[in-house]
Amino acid sequence: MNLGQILSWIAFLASLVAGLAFMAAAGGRAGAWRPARIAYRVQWAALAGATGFLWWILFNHQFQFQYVASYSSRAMPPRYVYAAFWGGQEGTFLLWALVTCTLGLVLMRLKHTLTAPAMVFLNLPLVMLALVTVMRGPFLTFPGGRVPLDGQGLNPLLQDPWMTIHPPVLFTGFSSLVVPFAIAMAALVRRDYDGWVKVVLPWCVFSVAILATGFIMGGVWAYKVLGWGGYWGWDPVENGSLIPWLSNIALLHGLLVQRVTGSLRRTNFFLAVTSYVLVLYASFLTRSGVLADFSVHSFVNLGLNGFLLSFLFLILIVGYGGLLMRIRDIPGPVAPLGSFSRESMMWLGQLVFMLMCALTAVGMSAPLITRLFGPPSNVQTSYYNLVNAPLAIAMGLLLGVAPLMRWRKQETQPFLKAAFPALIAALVITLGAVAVGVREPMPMAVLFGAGFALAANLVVTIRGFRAGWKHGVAFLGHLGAAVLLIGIIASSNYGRSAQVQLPEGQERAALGYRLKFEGMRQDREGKDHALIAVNAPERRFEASPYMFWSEFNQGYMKKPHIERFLTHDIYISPLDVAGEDEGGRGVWFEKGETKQIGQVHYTFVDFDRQMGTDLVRVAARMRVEIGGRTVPVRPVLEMNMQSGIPNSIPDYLPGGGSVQIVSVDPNTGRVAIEVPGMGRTASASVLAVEVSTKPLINLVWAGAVIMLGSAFLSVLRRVLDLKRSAPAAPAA
Amino acid sequence: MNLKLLLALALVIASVAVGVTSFNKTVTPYISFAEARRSPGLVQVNGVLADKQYVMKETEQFLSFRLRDAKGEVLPIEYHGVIPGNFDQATSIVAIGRYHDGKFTAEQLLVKCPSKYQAEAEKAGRTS
Repeated sequence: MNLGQILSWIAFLASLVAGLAFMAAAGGRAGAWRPARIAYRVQWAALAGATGFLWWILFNHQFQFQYVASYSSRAMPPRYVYAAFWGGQEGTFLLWALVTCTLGLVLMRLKHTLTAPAMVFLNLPLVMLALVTVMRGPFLTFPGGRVPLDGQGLNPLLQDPWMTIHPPVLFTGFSSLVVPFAIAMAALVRRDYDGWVKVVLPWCVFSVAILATGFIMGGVWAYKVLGWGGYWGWDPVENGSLIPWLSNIALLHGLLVQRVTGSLRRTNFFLAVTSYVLVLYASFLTRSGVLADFSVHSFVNLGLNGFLLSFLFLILIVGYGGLLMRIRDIPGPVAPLGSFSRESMMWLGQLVFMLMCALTAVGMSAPLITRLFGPPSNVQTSYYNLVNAPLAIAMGLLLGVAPLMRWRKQETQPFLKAAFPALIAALVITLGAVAVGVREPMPMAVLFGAGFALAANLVVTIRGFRAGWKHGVAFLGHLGAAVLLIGIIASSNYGRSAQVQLPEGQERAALGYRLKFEGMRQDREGKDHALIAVNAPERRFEASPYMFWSEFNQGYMKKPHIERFLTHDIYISPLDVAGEDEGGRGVWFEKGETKQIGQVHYTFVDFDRQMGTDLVRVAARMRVEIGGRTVPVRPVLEMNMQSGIPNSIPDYLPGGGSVQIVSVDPNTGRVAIEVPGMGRTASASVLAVEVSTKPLINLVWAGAVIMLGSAFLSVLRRVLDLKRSAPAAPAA
Repeated sequence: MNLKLLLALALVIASVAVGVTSFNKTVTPYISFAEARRSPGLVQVNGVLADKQYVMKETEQFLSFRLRDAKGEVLPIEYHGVIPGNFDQATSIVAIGRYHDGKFTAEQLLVKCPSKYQAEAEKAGRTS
């Protein structure tokens, strides 16, 4: 047993001890509180130690560990080696445990009657996560003491600064939803149906903020690196973190209503449990392999389905079971929600978020749902746009209406007076959009709603900040949401796009831009990129989209050029570079000859011939030295003697590059082999690119940044609120 | 009934209606090649690249290839659009589209690339 496994065991045992001791402390044994805290700290130390150990084996290339061999390699730059930590599932379970445990350390400091029972429920998933780290952690070594010479490395698509911080941020957000769940469960145990609101608010806003940070990082990465021109793809992995986020936002608004009016108690408990249940449900969907045939992400089934399902059902039963046991005990609303007041509009907003969450969850569960009735089917990504667009209209309108109303007051006249200028502004924005060419009713309606929200929140934000920043932050966040909505509609529906072929040295026109391909260049890291002189009406610029051969992927990596303007981006995505002469494919080898192509050495050993009656098979036995290893490859050329049609059957290199026979010269005994990275770019002369415009894309980023900023300010505000009230609460 | 409940009811009914119709409109059954040949609507098939004799014109964003399923059946596929990277090294290809006039026209391709190591780890995990 190695150090990593020992630490995993310590963490697991400490989590059991801590769980029992917290339970005793929550049950009234004050003496148990101290040992519980100690056991919990031991657990944290063990998890932190295991994390440190994992980094140590990664940086020291301890390839006897399966995890190290599969997600890192000697050639990897150190700043990406540390990201290999969360390159695979086993590592993410450890990260999940560490983040959860760290948040528990913070929660444990709170002096409140809810703290001890909340720690019991926070510790519950930790027991499960420590268990899986023991069972199937990243510390398994190869059987029989085998040590590979080098590892597989990390996909270069993921080797981007945004990608190194994006997963841990998203994971922190994902894991943080355990805290609202734990506090809600503690409140149910203590029958403290209102006191938990103040305690849980900062955590709830924190989850909203940190998950949003993760989304934005992922979006920026997709837009800047992937080159398909979008920032959100409705992939199961994205949806999996979106649904708990939506549920958590619904919870946030419900808590605010409950704090002021004393209603929505049951709804809020339901949402706190649901948010965490959705975290586990999404983990199950994306990690178990049930969606394997439906997603671009390679989900590998680690044989943990049983574990993931029992984890999900444990939280499901504990959460909803606890709520059902208390449901009759929870008092109903102090006073009914008014029909046309701020709280009733927030209640509607909560409903909109729940519907978005439910419809998105149904879409991502389509393969499971349809399996009940027939062949498993999936919905296309257009489903998500279709169902969320009408809800986005409702959201825009509610975002505008709610802040103009007052709590617990039903005043129609003052509201209409306040709403009138905002309505005018929304109309102006919508008419402006129609003037620039918006014709479809759906985007028009969303723009109207968002415009209304923008104008209304601008007014209340200014008014709020004049009264003190605490009164303005929430409205500022809503303003950001409205800006984001407008940016999404404009950039994803109204961009123009054209494909154009650019022969070297000649000017071509696309979308009113004049482009001249000036050839391929290499940057300092040896990566190829095209140089294109662009003469746009806005300004002249030099575009350099990347298109380079990747040894890791054994394929072409492409990265778009993005020229940014205030009102739009010009997005130039490389498609292909074609040489003038495609005839001379393949490298000729004599028997026993070795040639180096890229960083790989190829040796042609000999032919294997097989003569059938109507089929001749020739196989080339080759030895390939790649990444410090020598592997045999054996591409085959089949010739059908009747039809005369050849069929080349390639063999693959580690990493996936294909080696195939182009032709055989029986007279000289030579063979022409096509291998990866033969440098077609060197003779390139025609570049094909896709040029597109992304109107108002800056509003997407601006809206997102405003939302984020205000969300983090709100965390601060709720923490300050809690601190101010904390001394009054009795100690645990 | 007050305004708030009326609005909520309208929201829920509209969402369910839009949800059900959108679901039915965009759902693509995941079926065998034989069924795909008979089915008139949008469907989803998966398999591996049958041979290396595919036609890829990146400049025109055109791809034509033959897909072979687990039963060994072969289906010719044509695709217009952004060609997924590492297409020819895919261990599995999912094509979403419709069958028409002897060929399958794909609207969307999902490509999964080999990760030899994961399979190995999985085997090791089961035996240990």
